Amino acid sequence: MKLLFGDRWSWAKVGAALLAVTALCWHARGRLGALHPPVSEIRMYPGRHEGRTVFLAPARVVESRPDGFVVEKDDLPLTIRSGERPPAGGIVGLRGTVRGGEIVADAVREYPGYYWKRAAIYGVSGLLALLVAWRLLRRTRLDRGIFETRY
Amino acid sequence: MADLVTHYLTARIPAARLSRPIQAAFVVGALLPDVVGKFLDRALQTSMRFDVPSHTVLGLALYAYAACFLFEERVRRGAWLALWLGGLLHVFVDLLKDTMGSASSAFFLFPFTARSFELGLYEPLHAVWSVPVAVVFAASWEWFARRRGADVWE
Repeated sequence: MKLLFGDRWSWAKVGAALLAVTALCWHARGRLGALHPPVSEIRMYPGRHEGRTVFLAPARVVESRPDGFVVEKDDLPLTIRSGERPPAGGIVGLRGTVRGGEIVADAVREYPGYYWKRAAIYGVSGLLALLVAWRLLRRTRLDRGIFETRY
Repeated sequence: MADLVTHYLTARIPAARLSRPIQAAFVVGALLPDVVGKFLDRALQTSMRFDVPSHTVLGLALYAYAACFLFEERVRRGAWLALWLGGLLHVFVDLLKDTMGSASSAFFLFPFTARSFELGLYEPLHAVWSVPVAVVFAASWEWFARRRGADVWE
């Protein structure tokens, strides 16, 4: 255990852990990115992702149509085939499947008040993170780079 | 994500009986997944699920290992365990959400499996109604802890 948690070569151990986690992140990007491609990939290569599951982060509905709806994604319109027709101006997120180069919705969820609710949650969370960081820094010996306790 | 105040409370209250440096590590561990995940996603603008390991069992063990070197050598092993368990508690709380399987925490067993799983009990945005309650609880808890001389951060 001393080998893993001792002060000796601590920078090398931290570096090795960060390298390992970076490799894991790249692996996640490759494997999960292929299983659940982002909208930009489907737009660029519509034939490549047939049958893949897509998650669409909340986006604004710009048009409601008889066979689905259109959302604005990355400043471009994106047509979703769906039995549901959320009203234009609403915010929706969805899980869908790529069929024939298009996204067919399996589940659609509307998010009323999405922007202010998200801003409130992020604002309070950010304040708490800053408060905890400030209180931790008060107990940190910056010259040695460690959180120090009196106990 | 659930809000960080709720994550703070879910870690702070059950960890109250741990020794204080370990308690601080546990609470920091419960905040770690979102801090790391949002940093990767928003600040570094990584894409296509690069941030998922910040909410996985294996990824958190590695992040916790890197972070435990911020603690003194004599408490470092306990700090690593507390950071990791705090992170796992965060993931468990996140698993209660319903994100249609899209949240990073839904892939908590990655890279062992790429299947997503969550319990789907509430929508993440509904946390906006519980945040004021969580803030009052957290502030009251810290006030009482301080009065009893048990401030985890001192």
